[in-house]
Amino acid sequence: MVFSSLIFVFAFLAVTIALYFAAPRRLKNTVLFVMSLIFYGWAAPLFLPIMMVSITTAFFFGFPIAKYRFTNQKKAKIYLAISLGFNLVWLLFFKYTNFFIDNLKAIPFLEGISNITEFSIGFLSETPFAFTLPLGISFYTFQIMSYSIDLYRGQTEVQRNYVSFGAYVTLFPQLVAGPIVRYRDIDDMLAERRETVSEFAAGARRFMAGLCKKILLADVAAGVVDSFDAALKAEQTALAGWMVVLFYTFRIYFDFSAYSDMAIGLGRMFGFTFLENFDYPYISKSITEFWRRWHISLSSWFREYVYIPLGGNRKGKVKQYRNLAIVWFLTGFWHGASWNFIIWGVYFLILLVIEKAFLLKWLERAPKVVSHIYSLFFIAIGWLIFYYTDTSAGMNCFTAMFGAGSFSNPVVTYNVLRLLPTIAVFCIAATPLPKKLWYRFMDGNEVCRVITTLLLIAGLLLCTSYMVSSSYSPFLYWNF
Amino acid sequence: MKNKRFISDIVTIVLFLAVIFGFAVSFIVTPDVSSNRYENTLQRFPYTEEDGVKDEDRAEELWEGAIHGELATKMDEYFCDQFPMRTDFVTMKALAEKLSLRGNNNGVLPLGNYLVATKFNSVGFDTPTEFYSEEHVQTTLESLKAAIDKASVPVDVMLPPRVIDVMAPLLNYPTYVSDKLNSQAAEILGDNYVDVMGYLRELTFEIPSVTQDVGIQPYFATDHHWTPVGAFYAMERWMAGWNDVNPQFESFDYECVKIDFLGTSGRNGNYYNHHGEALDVSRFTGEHLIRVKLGQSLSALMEDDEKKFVEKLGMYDMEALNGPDPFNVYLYGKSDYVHLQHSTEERETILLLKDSFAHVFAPQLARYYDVVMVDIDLVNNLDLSSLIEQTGADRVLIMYNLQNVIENDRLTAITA
Repeated sequence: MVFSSLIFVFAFLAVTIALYFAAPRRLKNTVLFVMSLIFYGWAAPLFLPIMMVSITTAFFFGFPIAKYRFTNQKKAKIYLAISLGFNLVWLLFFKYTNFFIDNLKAIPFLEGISNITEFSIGFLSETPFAFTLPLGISFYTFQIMSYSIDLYRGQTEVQRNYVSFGAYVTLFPQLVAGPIVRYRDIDDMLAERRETVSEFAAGARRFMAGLCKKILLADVAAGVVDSFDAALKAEQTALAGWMVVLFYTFRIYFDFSAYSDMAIGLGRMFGFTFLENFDYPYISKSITEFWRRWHISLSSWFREYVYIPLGGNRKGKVKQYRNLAIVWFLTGFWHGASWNFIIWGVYFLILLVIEKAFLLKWLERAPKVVSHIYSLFFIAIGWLIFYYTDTSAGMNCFTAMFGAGSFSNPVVTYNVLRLLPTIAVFCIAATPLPKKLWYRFMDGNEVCRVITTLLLIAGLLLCTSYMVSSSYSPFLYWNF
Repeated sequence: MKNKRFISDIVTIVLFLAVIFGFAVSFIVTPDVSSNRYENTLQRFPYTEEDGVKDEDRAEELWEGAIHGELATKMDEYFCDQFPMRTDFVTMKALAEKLSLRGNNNGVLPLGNYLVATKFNSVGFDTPTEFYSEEHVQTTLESLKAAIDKASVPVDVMLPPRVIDVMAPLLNYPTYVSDKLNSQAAEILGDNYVDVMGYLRELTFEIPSVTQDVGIQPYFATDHHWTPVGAFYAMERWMAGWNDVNPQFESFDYECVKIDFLGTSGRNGNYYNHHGEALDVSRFTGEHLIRVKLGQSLSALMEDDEKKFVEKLGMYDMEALNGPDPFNVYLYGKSDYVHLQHSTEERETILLLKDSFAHVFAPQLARYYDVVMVDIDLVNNLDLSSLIEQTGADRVLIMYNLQNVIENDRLTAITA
């Protein structure tokens, strides 16, 4: 189910709110767990058992991990490995099998092995599974892993209530596209939380703002990307290439951060506080800063569970770069089983290594405008790599941007001119300026706050008009 | 500590819940409808009798639908189609797009007082676009040209331009793609091509308001078709230089039969707040002597076996004016085969291989010739020689508008 759909807003959410607030305290997690399962199973019920297996194995293996973690580290480690293995196997199988087979095939002397592999698992192509990626598997797998690892490290206590643990993993606000919530960040809230008028109101406002961002900004940007991509396919022009990259840069930020806004808002309505996932990444003055502001929960996860355990920056420069290489390869690969995502990860690795080596110091001294342009340029080129899973189409766009074709044609120019007001709005919306202005002029008294609410309600109705007339529009990060 | 934001918080919660629960309850209590004023087929609750599923199959279909995700898709469509105040909401979206200056709603752009489709589902593209595949057009038209060259009678090809092709200069929209497409067609089809784009462009003018019947605009302001006037000038262009016929504008009267016609572009763009425009039909002296025969096969028409075709009184279906698509007034909407035959005179026959643009065109052509119309979209293999033989045609006109040319390859169905 998509947040930006009528069935979510006017059926699922309405029923969930009614049931949740009507339920006694001890049944609130049960309501959330059951409704989250319905939310997840709505479009892809076949993948529910897979998620349930992951939840159940992690839950039950949690007990021996907790039992032995201080007394018998070796045993605890074995249980941890089994638990993680059970979870990762689904992710590897559904997300990466086709990728590995396709790449094995490309190696001549391994063709036979790949054919046998393909044949032996070929029966799946006849089933509804057929290597379709289960929704949100990358997100919930990481959440489950955080529980097992934290438990092993002694950073959290074992969860003895299956429903509470299930509710943590499946919690519908963040189930399919994050933020990736670490177990220890919300274990207290699972046991005891308070839903208040102010939190519910703040959550509703955040949800409505996120919905507006998704429908009025991200979906519009998506349409523009498609339009210029088609123009590029018809005729290689620099302007169309730059427009694809510019609007995809807007789109991915608005889309993903809108989802996080809605997730955080929904969480607050039900008494949960999730950590922020975005902090205006496009105002960054370096790539290093960008990755501190973009998809914060994923960066934190990799830092905490991969980079630091590998030694981080404590064991010399060479090992630090090795650790960075591992993290960025995994970051790219986590986003999808395709070479462009791996290249994308490596691309950022190179930029970060260069920055760490010398560039960062230079950027700190350089005029702000230079460092902003530098950052935005390389971020945008990164999105170009990210966008095109078809590398030849990506190269077509890249070469067009740098003069392989003509500069423009009359239709492209016409559309760019028509979109200038939209570009201006998007540029402003991607900065903290609207929020600063809101705090400066609107947050000071109750009348202004009521006016803000009325504007958000108007936005909700406007979004409803888009939802009524539009077709299915999933979030980008559902694919990952 | 007292919550300083208590009032605004309460207002937020009350309004948020009022909107969500208000529409939820309204959705439940409002009965489902299968159509509204502007849309013919609305999704009703899935897997019911109304949805075309029999009682005995329901459980199985529901299970299959749930497992494969079709139930979720249909439920999404059901919510969209049956949502309270649907028409008002989709109109609100169209107006919001217009106000945002992007304007393009579902591929329809408001330009001046026209609602113009600018994006098409061109072959070779994944999304609607202003562009087209030159390779596709090349292949399609070359195949057509090869078939034409083998024909035993003169064959002409008229590819009626889209509204954007004709109106672009007037509405300050680039003519780049239109000109390129027209030039490509002219180059491939050579002497067989009837180039009407430039001619029709000269006739255009900015209308003060689409609600005003200005009489001689060549294209509808809210539809993708040409008007009877546009069709007349296309016919005049085609027949220019013929010795036997010289059509005169004064030979026809254009009668307004509907004043609030909202065409396909208006409906696709969801501009339901639009008042609509005038819809005219062409009239001429002696029109009543034209026999209009509609059949499901060509042989049924040509054998003149009254049991195998339907004969209509007049070329226009006035009842269609109050139906979901008033454009069906012209020659009773989409028919596979139509024969317009003078009841008393022996005349030359023109075979018109056509799409819907011909429905406005043929009633005027019938003033001069008997016309046999065969729908290109509905027939798979059009053996031109055999069609000419069966119909005894003296001349052939292939009429297939440029939108269809770039969106499909059905012209290749015309073989030698």
